[in-house]
Amino acid sequence: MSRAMSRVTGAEDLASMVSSVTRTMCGTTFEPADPSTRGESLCGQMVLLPLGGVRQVSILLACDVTGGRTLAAAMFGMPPGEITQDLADDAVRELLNMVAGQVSRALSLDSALGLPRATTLAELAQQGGIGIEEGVLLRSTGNVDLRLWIFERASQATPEPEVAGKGGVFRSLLRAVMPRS
Amino acid sequence: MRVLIVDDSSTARRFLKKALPAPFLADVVEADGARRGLEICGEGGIDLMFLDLTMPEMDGYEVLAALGGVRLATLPVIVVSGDVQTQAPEKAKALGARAFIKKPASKEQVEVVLREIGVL
Repeated sequence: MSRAMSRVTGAEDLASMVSSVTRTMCGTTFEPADPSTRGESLCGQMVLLPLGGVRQVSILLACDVTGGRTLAAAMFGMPPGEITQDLADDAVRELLNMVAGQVSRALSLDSALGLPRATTLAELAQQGGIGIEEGVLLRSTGNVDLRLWIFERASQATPEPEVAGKGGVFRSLLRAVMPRS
Repeated sequence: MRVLIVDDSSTARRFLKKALPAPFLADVVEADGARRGLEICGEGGIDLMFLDLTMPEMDGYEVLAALGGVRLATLPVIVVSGDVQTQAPEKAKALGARAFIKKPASKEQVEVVLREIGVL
């Protein structure tokens, strides 16, 4: 792992990046949590953003419907009941866009950000799949859970068996980090 | 002063409006894409533009290029973007943007930049 890549070391770093955005937007911060507490239950709403460049690095954000609406409500200063699914989807996409910029800089990718788009576990599975367990789980004080993955196509790099995704097509750029006690 | 916010994200547009100082809130126009933003600019009457970089169909760099140096000499454009790599502000400014603000833009950041470019 290169020095630049090692700057994104896992849950703590991602929590800090996400919190720097959400603190400004709605006063919310996130901490790493135990990923095994959510599993696939958090994959109802998934957004994928390619970070551009030859390495084909992408960042993936997942949350559930309640979490997306809670987050959007906090950002807009509105009651969660008034948040439409379109508003919640847009808020999640924009959060990912802002976090992606920081990740791209940390990885020194030197390419323009791509556009966020919705995806599903089924679509990702068709492309070789990601290891669910390789994503970090971030939990806010407002009980919003987010799951984040950063990966690149294995064809662009030498896969590391301990972090390769299911099927070995994707290579996670995150270390397996458990929450610090 | 008539302010135009060009961003495909309604979240970003809403949040930027919240960050604007009171004197700028009276007349804010929103465009949910680059082409619509250019149309509104073409109609005239815009005094200040906030512009996102990453948008579908046409990005913020292309908007700056389309506006061109003559228009940008009289229309201050502030780029507001999540793309925080070093070349993004440099490229935007080379194309005529007056300033670059990293998303999410806080009230304080917006006010500082507006003062720096002399519109507040």
